[in-house]
Amino acid sequence: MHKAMTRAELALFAENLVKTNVVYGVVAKDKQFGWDRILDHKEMVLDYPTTISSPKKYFLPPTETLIEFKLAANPDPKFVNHSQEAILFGMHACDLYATSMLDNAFEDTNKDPNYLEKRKKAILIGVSCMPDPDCFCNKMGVDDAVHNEAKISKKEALYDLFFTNIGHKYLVSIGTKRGEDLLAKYAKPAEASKAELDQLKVVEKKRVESFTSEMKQDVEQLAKLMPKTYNSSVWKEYADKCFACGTCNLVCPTCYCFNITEKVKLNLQEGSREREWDSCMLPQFAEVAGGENFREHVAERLRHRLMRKGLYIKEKFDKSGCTGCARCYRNCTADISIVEMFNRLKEVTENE
Amino acid sequence: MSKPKVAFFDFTSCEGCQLEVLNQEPQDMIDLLNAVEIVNFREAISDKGQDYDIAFIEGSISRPADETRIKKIRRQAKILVALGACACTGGLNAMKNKYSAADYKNYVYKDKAHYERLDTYAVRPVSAVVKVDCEIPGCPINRFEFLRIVKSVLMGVTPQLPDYPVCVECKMKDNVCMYQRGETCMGPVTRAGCDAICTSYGDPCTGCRGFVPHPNLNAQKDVLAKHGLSPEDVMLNFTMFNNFSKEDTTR
Ligand code: SF4
Ligand code: SF4
Ligand code: SF4
Ligand code: SF4
Ligand code: SF4
Repeated sequence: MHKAMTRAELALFAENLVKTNVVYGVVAKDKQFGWDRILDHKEMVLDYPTTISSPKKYFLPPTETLIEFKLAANPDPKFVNHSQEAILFGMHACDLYATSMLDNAFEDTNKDPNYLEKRKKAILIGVSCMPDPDCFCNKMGVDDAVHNEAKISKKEALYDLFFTNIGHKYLVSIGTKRGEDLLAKYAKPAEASKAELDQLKVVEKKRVESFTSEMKQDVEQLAKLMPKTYNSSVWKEYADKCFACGTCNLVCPTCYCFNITEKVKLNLQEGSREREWDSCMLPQFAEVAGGENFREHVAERLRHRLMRKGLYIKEKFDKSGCTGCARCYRNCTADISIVEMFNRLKEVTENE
Repeated sequence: MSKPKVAFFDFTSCEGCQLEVLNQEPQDMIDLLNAVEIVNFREAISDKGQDYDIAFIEGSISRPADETRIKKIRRQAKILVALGACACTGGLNAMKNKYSAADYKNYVYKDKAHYERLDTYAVRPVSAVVKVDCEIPGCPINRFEFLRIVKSVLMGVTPQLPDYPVCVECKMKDNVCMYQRGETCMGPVTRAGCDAICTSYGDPCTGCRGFVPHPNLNAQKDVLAKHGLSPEDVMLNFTMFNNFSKEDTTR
C-alpha cells in the first residue's frame, strides 16, 4: 500500500518529527555524507549517494559502557544501557537489510540486551536511492527494500516507513503498524494515484538499469565460489597493498565484532566493563593468551574478512554477509576493491 | 601502601609533554596526586627530590652529558617511562640526523653556530641508551593515555599501547578521510592512541606517535605518491617523526 506526499509535505513531516523526537539522519560532511543527530530538519539530506559509515553506530556504538562496578569485596555491578526512543530517517535499502542481519546476530543464542533494546526503540524510515558507480547491492539481492521484504524477513518489512522519490513527489510504503501510526500522527498523506504508482514502476526500472559495478557474481554464486578460494594466491596479492587498518570493517554495515575490556578509574576504587568496535583486519583480533595468533598474516585476515562477507554469514543466517554498499572500497586508503577481489578470486580459482 | 615517588626529567625537548601531564581535569589531577607523590618536576614544583621510584623522561639524548645523566637516573628508578615522541622515537629532533652538523648549526644558530655549548651529536631515543620499561608516544603525549599508563604501572600491569593504526580511531569517529579531502595522511602506518585528534580537527596525521608494529611502509609510499606527493615530500613524511625508526616490516 502506498501513500503520496509532495516534497513540501515531506519537509513538514520531517520538521514535525524533529521537533518532538530524537531523529538521526544524513548530513553533508566535506563533500561526503554521514549519519548524525538532526536538530534542524533543513540539514537532513534525503538524496545522497552513500554515507561514510553505516547507521549501525546507533545500535552498536563505537564505544559503550556495559557494566560499572567497584573494586571491593562486593563489586556491586550495575548494568548500563543508554537506549532511547529514536527515529532513523533516510536509511537506504542496503542499510535496512544490514540492520536485519545484525538483528539476527545479536538475537542469536546469547541475546545482547544493549543492542536489542536500542534496536527495539528505533523507528526506521527508509528512502530510495540511485546507485553510485561502485554500488553492487543489486547483485547481493538487497537493493529493493519495498519488494524484497517478504524474501528477506518473511515476517515483517525491514522498515517502518519507506519513501521513494518519484520526481515531483514521494511515495510512502508503510511497513509496520508503528510506521502507520507515526505517519498518521505527523502528516496527512493522500492515497497514491494510479499515475503515481505507474511512475513508481518507471523509477524502479531506471534504478535497476543504473548499476555500473563490475561485480560478476551474486550471493549464491559467491557462496559456491568461496570454499574453493581458501588456498588462493589472490590473498597475498592484496595483502601486499593492505595496511591492516580495519577501516573496511569499521565502516561496514554488517560487521559486528567488538572487544571487551575492563577499565579501572584512577582512584583505583571503581571500574567499568567497556565494549568497543573491533576488526578482523587488526593484528590482535585472532591473538590468544600466550601470544599465539591464528591469523598472523594480513593475507589470512583478508581471507577471513571476505569469507565472512561471501560465505560464513550466508551459512549462519541464510542472508548475504555483504550488502554491496561498497563502503569498504570507498574508504580504503589503499583502494582495495572488494568487487575486484571477488572477481579476481573467481578468475584465478577457475584457472588454478 | 606508601605512594610511589615519581620524578620528571627533561632532555632535548620542548617540555610540551610535561605541560600535557599538568593539563588534566581537576578531578583527574587530584586522583593523580592521591595516587603518587611527585618529588621532581621542574615544570610544576621547585623541590628536587633524588629519591624516586618511577622516572618519566621527556626528550631525546643528544649530548655526551645526556648519556651520563640518563644512566644515573636509570640506576635510581625502578621503572623508567619514556614520555613523548622525543624520548620514544627521537621525534622531531631526529630530523637533524639527516644533515651534517655544520649544515644544521649554521641553519639554526647562524652567527652563533661556533659556540661550543651548542655541540650535539646524532639524536637518539632514550631506549637507544638505557632500558626503557614503557613508552608514552606522541608529540605531545595524549593526557588520557598518560593516565591510563600511570594506572597500569600502579596496578602492576604491563601497560599496552594500541598496536593498530590511527585510521581505526579516525573511523570510529566517522571522520571524512583526509585522502577524500584531497590531502594526504600518515594515519595508515601510525600507532593509534591519540583518538585521531589531528584528523578529527581536519589536519593530516604526521605520524608523531611512531609507526604501528609491522607497518606497510611500501604501500604508504605508493599511496602518498599516487596522491601527488613528490619523492622528496614522501620522504619528508617518513622522516618528520620517524627518522630514527627501524621497523620490522614483515607481515
Ligand atoms: S581498509 Fe583497505 S587497507 Fe585498510 S584493512 Fe581494509 S583492505 Fe586493508
Ligand atoms: S563488505 Fe563492503 S560492500 Fe559489503 S557490506 Fe561491507 S562495506 Fe558494504
Ligand atoms: S614530544 Fe613534542 S611536545 Fe613532547 S617534548 Fe618533544 S617536541 Fe615537545
Ligand atoms: S584521515 Fe588519515 S587516519 Fe583518518 S582514515 Fe584517513 S588515512 Fe586514516
Ligand atoms: S593524528 Fe597522528 S600526528 Fe596527530 S596526534 Fe595522532 S599520531 Fe600524532
